[in-house]
Order: sequence, then C-alpha cells, then structure tokens
Amino acid sequence: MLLFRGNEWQKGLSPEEMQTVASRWMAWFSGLKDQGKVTAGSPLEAQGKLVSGKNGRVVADGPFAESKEAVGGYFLLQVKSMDEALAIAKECPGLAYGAVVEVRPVAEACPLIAEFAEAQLTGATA
Amino acid sequence: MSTPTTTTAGEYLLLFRGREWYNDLSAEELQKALGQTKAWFERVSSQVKVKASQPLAREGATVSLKNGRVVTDGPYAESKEAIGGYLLFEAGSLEEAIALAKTCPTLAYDCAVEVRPVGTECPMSARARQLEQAQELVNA
Repeated sequence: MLLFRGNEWQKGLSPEEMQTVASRWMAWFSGLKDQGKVTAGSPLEAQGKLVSGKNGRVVADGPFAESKEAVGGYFLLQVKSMDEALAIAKECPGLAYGAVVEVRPVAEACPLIAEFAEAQLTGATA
Repeated sequence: MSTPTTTTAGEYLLLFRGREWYNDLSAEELQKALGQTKAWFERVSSQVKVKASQPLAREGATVSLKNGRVVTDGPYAESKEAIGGYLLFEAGSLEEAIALAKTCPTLAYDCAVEVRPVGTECPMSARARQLEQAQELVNA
C-alpha cells in the first residue's frame, strides 16, 4: 500500500503547477492500472475524525490538511516485492515538490493470528 | 460539488492506528482479542459494503526527496500513530462512518481509528480550478 503523507507541499504551487502535477499523477495512476500494478487509489478528503478511548468516546478533529504527517491519499498496489513497490513510489510526481510516500506491505495474515499462533507454540502465558 | 459533506453517502476509509498492542498480551487475552476483532469484521461486513480491508505489516519505508535525491527511510518506526491496517467501505454519511469506528474493539487496547471520506477529485485539480476562477473574477 502506498500512503501519500503530507499535503503542505501543495500549498506553494501555482495553479499551473498544480494542474501539471495533478495531470502527471493521474497519468502515473493510469499507467499503473494498465500494467495491472494498482488495484485502487483515491485522494482522501481533508476532513475526518480521529476516534479513540473506551468505546470511542473521544472524537477529535484532524489536522488532516496542512500537515506533514496527514494521509492525503493512497494506492493499493499489486506487485511481487517490496523493491517493486519502492520503485513505483519513487516515480511519484509529487516527490519533487516535497511529497512523502509511505510504502507498507500488506500483512499475509492478521498479526493477531500470527501472534496467537506464536504464543501457543512457545506456551506463553501472562 | 463533488466533495462529500457530512451528510454525503460515499466511500470512507478507516485507518487503524496504534502500537503492536497484541505483543503484550497473554495467550488467553490474545484469544479473546482475536475473537472480538474477528466478530467485529464479520459484523461490519454484514452491515456495510466493505470494498477492501487488510492489515499492514509493520515493515515499510518512506520515500522522499532530500537535497535533490530520492531517499528511502525505514524500516518504519513503531509509534502510537503507526497505521496497522485499513478498512474501505461505503457509508451513508461521515456520522455513520464515525459510529462504526466507535465500535472497533481495538479502541480498548489504546488504538485509535481515523475516519476519512474518500475524495472523488484530485485536490490539486480542484484547488487549481478554484484559484483560476478567483483570478478570472479579479481580471474581469
């Protein structure tokens, strides 16, 4: 999965630059789709909420915009290796303007299941 | 026009944020947590249309440009903000999506759930258009 972090970098662009990067980005996505390397991708709205606490009693606002860490969008890749995913991330048209791309492999199994299996093997108890 | 408001039906993304809380549990506690999360995902799948849902491995890297060169940092550090997985689904509104997020059992293990509406238009295109329209008004 590619997670596009931060959207501060978009602020300093002129309308023409924005359109250029946007077009390049869409061409990048289309190209990957044609190669069967991406199965889904979308930008994320700047609004949203962060839910935490027992029973989700704490509902906080972002920031989801103008932040270096905020996730601005994602791609779901279908590739054979982390190296391939990294190579694709390096093609991101936003990099030259300060975008950061987080590359994460999808886990083969739910980590809970893996952890449980391991605990059973080692006979771990509290 | 194409950006969802709080009353808009559409796609929403849940990002599950937190440490590897399951590492600290005993086998019995793990079994309980497994049961809870499995039941939750099954319930969610029957209540809403889930488009995709996967856990993310803790390995990873970030790619960025530093001093004119593309650099790769990583592996990914463990933190409370780390994203452990996602769930992409359809909901009638942001409120509905938030209500769903509140039922997530990992909240009891000090995790957080980020709820984001999926955008329908590249934000740069939208902004560029806005700026151009504003400029046209100025020039008129």
